Amino acid sequence: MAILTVHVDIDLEELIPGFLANRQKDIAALRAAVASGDMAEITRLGHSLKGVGGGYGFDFITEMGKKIEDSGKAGELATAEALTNSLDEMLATAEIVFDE
Amino acid sequence: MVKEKILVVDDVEDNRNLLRVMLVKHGYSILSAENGLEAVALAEKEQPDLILLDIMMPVQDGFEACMELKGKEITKDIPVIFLSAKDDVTDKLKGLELGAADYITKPFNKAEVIARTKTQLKLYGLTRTLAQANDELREKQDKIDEDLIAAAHIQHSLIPSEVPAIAHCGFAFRFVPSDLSGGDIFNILRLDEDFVVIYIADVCGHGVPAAMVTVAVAQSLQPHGRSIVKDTLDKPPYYRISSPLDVVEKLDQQYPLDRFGRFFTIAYILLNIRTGELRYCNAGHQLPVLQRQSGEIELLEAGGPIIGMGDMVPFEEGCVTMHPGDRLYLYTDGIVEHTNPDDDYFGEERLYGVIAGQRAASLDECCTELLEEVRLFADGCRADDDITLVALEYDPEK
Repeated sequence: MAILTVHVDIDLEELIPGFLANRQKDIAALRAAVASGDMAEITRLGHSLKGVGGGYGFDFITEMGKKIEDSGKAGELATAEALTNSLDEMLATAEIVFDE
Repeated sequence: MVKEKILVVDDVEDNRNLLRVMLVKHGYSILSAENGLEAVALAEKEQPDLILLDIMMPVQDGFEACMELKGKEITKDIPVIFLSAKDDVTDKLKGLELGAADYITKPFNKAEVIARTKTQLKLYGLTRTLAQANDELREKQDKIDEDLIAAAHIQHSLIPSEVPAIAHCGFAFRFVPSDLSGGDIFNILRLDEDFVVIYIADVCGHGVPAAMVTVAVAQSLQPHGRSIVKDTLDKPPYYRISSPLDVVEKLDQQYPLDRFGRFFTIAYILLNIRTGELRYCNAGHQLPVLQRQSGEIELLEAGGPIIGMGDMVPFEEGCVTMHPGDRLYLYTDGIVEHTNPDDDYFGEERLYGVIAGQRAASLDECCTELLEEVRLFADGCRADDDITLVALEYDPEK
């Protein structure tokens, strides 16, 4: 998979560790929701990811969040699971560059 | 300078952090809340200058919180900016309907956050400045109204409160002040065994300035000590009553137009109650109406221009004799210039008509009837000037 380079505003440097830790929590929550077939929770988590990603420079989190939200609304459990896995990988491989 | 306080409300910690970092960098002080309930409590306590409010939150969402904030007196004016996803048009509309000032879309764009924040804070600041200016203006207006009421009281205190009891004379008067102090004044003074002065004056204009000149004129015409009405002498009879011509000329000297920037009119009557001889001088005032016992009406025309013209036109004195039963009516233009909904004036003809028609009635009844006729004529139109009426009936038998 291609390396994702994320450009983050230098002012946000201190917030990044916490941010990434919270995204791991989100992934875990998504996996649990998929396992129990909780479409409402999947939709909610997707919506939340959609809103939080781009502000920190993580546009891919916003994009994936939107897709996850849509899959949740459409009741497409398999899609939601696949998207969650992709997001997990993208987070794992993303390279962060701090810009002034 | 005190930092402006912004309350950031979002259930997602990373959103709160992001906004905090952005805004602190621009010199704002930040408060945070995780849900609507906390937000409302914090807003009540801290009175922030702006609230950034997420919509989807547990416990209480942004819409409910906004409704509560707008419902409370101390928080209703704090501007609220909703944080909403880009594609949530319905959310945006609902937010605006609930009274939000603006919305910021997620994910947050730094420039957008700062721009909308600054705009709303500026607007809020201007609104508060305006409200303060309005309060100050209202205070000033209240003070002006107080002063007007005080001026009216002073004016009323100069006017006789009851009909004087003077031999051979029956009096009646009516005084209906307008809302704004109108500058009318009259008085009835017994100068000695034989002489009575009756005067009626109208200072132009309204309000406190007119009232002040009215006071000055009343002072000038008071009869005690050395005054222009009745002067003291060193030898018998130790006083001298000024003629109406003297009085009016003295007033004209003492009240040139450039003294107060105001002129006034006056009808000054000196009546010898023993003989019925009436001397008068009418300076620009409504012509006094002398109604004979027979009903015949004469107007007292001798006099000159308004007071203050500086002797441009000389004054003249007039003289008539009152016979038993004769009546004299003095009035100000508040009566004849009273308008009705068609913009007509009451006018002198109607006045004379009422006086003629009331010949058989008592003096007091005539006054009542005249004011009633004016009221009916006015048909709801407000008087914008004082209404003053002074009536005298000469009756040596009394």
